[in-house]
Amino acid sequence: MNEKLKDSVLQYFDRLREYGLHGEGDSVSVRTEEGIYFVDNSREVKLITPEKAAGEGALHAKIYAATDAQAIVHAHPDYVSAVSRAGVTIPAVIDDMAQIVGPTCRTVANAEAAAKELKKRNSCLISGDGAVTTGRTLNEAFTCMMVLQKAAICFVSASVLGGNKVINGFEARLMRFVYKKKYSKINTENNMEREGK
Amino acid sequence: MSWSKEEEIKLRRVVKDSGVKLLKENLVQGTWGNMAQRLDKEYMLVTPTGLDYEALTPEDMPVVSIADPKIWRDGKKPTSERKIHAYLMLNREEINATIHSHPYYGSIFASARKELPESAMTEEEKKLLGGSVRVGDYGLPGTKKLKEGTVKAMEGRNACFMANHGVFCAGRDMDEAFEIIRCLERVCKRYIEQLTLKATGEKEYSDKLLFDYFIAKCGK
Repeated sequence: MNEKLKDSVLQYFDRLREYGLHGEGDSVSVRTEEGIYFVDNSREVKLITPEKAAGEGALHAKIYAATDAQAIVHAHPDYVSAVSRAGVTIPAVIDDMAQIVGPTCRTVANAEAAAKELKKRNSCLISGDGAVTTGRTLNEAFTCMMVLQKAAICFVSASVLGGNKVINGFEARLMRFVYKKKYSKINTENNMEREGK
Repeated sequence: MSWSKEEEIKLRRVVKDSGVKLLKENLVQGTWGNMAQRLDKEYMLVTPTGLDYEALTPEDMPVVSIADPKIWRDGKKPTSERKIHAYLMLNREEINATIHSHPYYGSIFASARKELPESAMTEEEKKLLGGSVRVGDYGLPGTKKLKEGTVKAMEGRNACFMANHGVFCAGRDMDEAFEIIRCLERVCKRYIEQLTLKATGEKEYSDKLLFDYFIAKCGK
């Protein structure tokens, strides 16, 4: 196994706790030519192959098979989990969300539906089971989770303030486009090197 | 240039230290916030774009023209949001330090475009914030609409929400601006908790109470 990449996977798993994004059943992984480097609560980074993947590992394997994601974070931050239990869609409540997550983040029923949903998006909520975010790097998938939690905080808490005023779809898509074009290429290259890919 | 080199060195240090403090108190995430410190009537120091406050050195801060923020020298490339800081300093002579960030509780009000009323504040908090905290008009990042909306919402106030974006705070010096953003976040949090109790009829706040209310109200 590539030691640097192995360390990076564990580092991002531990970062979930550091940033208050952790919950029960979290896992982080990256795709490599050898197979999937996967870590969960055991904090032991395992190499799993799609054929032998089970449980949480199988969710990651399904997503890699269906998408071109290079890294996956499956986490259960408190506010995100509340929305996943409610089974609803988080709209673009803040600019960060429109840029980094996208104009919406929907709740899907299960692992199969998540793999399908993530073909065209980099995040979704799984009914009663937190959220999955993907990226070209671990940093990208992690950042997406961080912003998703903030959007969930705004979305959930605004329920006692009379609800959110959502950013209109055109502006949300425009911001997403500009963000992807402007920031992501350089960041991706820098982060790939840092993470050991 | 009407300030001394010693003064500039001191102010560069103030910006750097306040940035680290913002990060430590969870009032800013990573590089997603920026600050400005006035040097004189015409110039200000601002934080550079895309650098987190831990890694930042006092020398990294560029000097930006308040009248024409396109003009800058020294330090690294300034934050793209410097126009808002400059426009506020241009319009408000008494303001010497500004902070823009996206802290959790302030962002809730920004995303709901709801004013924080004076009734939610103690006398001391009211004095510090300058009254109710209004919401500036929505505008895409970097636009004139956002800049003007923010300055308008700041009229007679020391803080405002920026619609669907974050918060903006201003003080006579950086310590005061810091006190203001910290106070704003505290009042927002307390008010959300009070509203949750009011909505549920319960006596003691917990996040679970809010989550259950949200799920019952908005869930499928």
